[in-house]
Amino acid sequence: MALDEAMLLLKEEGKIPNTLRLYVFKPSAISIGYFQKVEESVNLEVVSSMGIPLVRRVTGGGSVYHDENGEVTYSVIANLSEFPKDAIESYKAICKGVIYALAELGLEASFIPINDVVVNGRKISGSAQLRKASSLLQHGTLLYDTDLELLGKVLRVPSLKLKSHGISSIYERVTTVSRELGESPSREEVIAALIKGFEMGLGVKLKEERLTEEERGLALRLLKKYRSREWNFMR
Amino acid sequence: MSIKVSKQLKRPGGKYLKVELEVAKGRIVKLKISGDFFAYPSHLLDMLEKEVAGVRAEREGVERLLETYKDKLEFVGVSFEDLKRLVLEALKETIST
Repeated sequence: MALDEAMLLLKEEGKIPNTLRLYVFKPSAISIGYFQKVEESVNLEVVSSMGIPLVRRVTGGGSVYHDENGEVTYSVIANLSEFPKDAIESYKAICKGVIYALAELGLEASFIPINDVVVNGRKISGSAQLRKASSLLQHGTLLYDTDLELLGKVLRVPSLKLKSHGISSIYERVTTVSRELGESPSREEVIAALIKGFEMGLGVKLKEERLTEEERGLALRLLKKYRSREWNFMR
Repeated sequence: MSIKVSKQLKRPGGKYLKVELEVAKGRIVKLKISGDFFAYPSHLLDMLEKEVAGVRAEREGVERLLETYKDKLEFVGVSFEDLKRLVLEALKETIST
């Protein structure tokens, strides 16, 4: 999370190129949206008894369970001017990368506004975006083999929201690549599919690079905030 | 003694928004805005919460204060009007209680 924010800040200063970052949370963790209340978005009892770390994002949106063995997170940090001004259109433009990645893995997926990618009517990827004056950060999930039962136990959804989706639990609304395909791709296959998917979706050729000293340094300075109770429990 | 009122909304295809308002002795003690919506710049919503605290609990002044944020905030998944409506509804309940 610190690195995502660091990259956005450096992008805003014009110090880094447009970037796709792919990463995995280790150990498994939960991220919640900037405006969410902790006790409404996660089951704190289960989370603390299992020792699952929790972090508040700079982006809005809902809570996510990042399964170390079943989820890859992507971040796109780019110039705002290169994407549609309309928020939903820009989600759609970036989510194309995820949709092509899923096609690469053998699944037909589609974008459902505001920020969901679904397969057979179930959410397989969610994204969240933050905009600065001249740049944007969009990060999101790709659930390839997430333990959905555990996800259902650790995340909480306001009953008003479940009612509006016409379902009784979060478990009914989400899916994974392995659930849809009947077999799980490896993490490496998912990462390769995401790289190819984003190249196609964004119409770019990606070049693999290591973190710069500046990115690492700024992320380390931001780390303190993301580790603080003050930040994570601010709502 | 303080009065606490919370209001929430979730429209089909939209995001979840919750407003919690606490009023005591005719003044707003606390306003908390939460949900899984998007709003930027996000710190402005934090600022709005802080600015509302201490303000007299009457519709006109609160509405005027909220309006000063209207053009500065961009919402996705909910609207500024949604937020205003929930705050004013909550306020109305605290006054009539």
